Amino acid sequence: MLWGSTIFTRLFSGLLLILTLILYQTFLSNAMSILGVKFDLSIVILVYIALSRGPVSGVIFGFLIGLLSDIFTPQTLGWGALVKCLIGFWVGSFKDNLYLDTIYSKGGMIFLALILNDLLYYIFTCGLNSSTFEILINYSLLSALYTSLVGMLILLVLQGINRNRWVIDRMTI
Amino acid sequence: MLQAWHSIPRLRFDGPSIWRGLLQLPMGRIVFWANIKRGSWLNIISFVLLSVLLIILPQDFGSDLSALIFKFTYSPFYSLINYIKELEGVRDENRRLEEKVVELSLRNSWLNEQQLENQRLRGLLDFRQTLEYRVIPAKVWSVEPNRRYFSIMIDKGSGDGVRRNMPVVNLHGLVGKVVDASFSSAVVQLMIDPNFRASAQDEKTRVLGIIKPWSGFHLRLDNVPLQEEANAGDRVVTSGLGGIFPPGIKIGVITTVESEEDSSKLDSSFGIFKMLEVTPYVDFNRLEELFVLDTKG
Repeated sequence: MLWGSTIFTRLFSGLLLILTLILYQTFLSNAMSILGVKFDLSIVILVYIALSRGPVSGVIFGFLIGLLSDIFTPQTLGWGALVKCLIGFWVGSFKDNLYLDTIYSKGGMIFLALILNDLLYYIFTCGLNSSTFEILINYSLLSALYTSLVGMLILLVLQGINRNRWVIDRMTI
Repeated sequence: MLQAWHSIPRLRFDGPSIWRGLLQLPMGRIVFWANIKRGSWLNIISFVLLSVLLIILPQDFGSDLSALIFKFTYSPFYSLINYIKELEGVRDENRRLEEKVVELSLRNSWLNEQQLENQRLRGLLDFRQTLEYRVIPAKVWSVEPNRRYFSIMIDKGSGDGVRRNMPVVNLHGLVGKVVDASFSSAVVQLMIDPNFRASAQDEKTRVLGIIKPWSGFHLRLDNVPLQEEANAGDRVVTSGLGGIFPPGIKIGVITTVESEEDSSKLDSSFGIFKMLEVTPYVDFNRLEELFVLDTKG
């Protein structure tokens, strides 16, 4: 009974995504960096969850993903979680909305979410000064571009899986 | 309200429909806000408040909480990686170490002789001991996996005598400082962290400045007046001012010295100071064995 319920499926898939993120960050994160530019799977997962489930899930996942990144810098514990909560809410508010049907607009959303995430994080933790924008240009722009490109491919695969599952569900009814 | 929400057509990014979409955007936003249930708002606010609670937690409690979460999430996987890495190199390492032992034992006997001679001479010249700090060897336990690669976790904590603000070095030079220590682990803020600052000086000209991160893995020696001498190729070391880093620890080498005109364009200090780019000796992509310096010990 529990197995088929929506809540269980959501919980299970959520935990699976978190586990995937931990595994990626432990084993693949460094291998996937190109000339020091890293791919940020956490933002891709957050955008995917928020766009497919809405702002509430966006905030919850934003909190969990942000907390996982915060434990490596206990001196700024909570800031990453707060920023990702806000990003999750903002992206989630676009659920089922207007132009976000195309993969390109989702890629754009990943790009914007990452830039906004970094901007808010640096403002909260380092303050707003000229070096905030230096850091943003040096660290975030290329990473946002790389993440949105790879993120689009991942979202394409996830969309394909979801579509197939929907077709199978229809056939079994 | 719900009817209004469902009546909004799902638009695609194709041709004239985008204009229709833009016109309906404000209406769609209003319906969206109204559509979030009261319970959902409660969820959203709770998680935001939980984040705020984490921010205002006392730092000691926050670091213990971080260590606990790390233990149940990343720790098993990092242990696995470290175990595999250790196994990989253990046989070669063993053979190499056996050769090294023979070589070192020969050198050790020679050094003992030298030390005795050194002590004799120091006694004659009334020199004090130069090494005034205890060295705590540590291994990198985990590297911050996010894009913000500014800190690492080491396998020694307050139980081993590691405390906040202790300098961390490796064989090549300064790595950073301890910013947080739980019982069995500690977080090291690397020199490339945007918040890192250290008092430093040009080893040759003795000009003082402040070392801070620049772009990528490069650093910048700031607050060096234009009239002071500092040249490309000079070594930069810690000055000992500030009370955290002992003097003379190698930081890096000056690679670029911006002229007055360039400096005024690039630096926010409007040409009062020189802009010196410093390439650190430490390779932050290959941090393994580190040493925490207990300067008070």
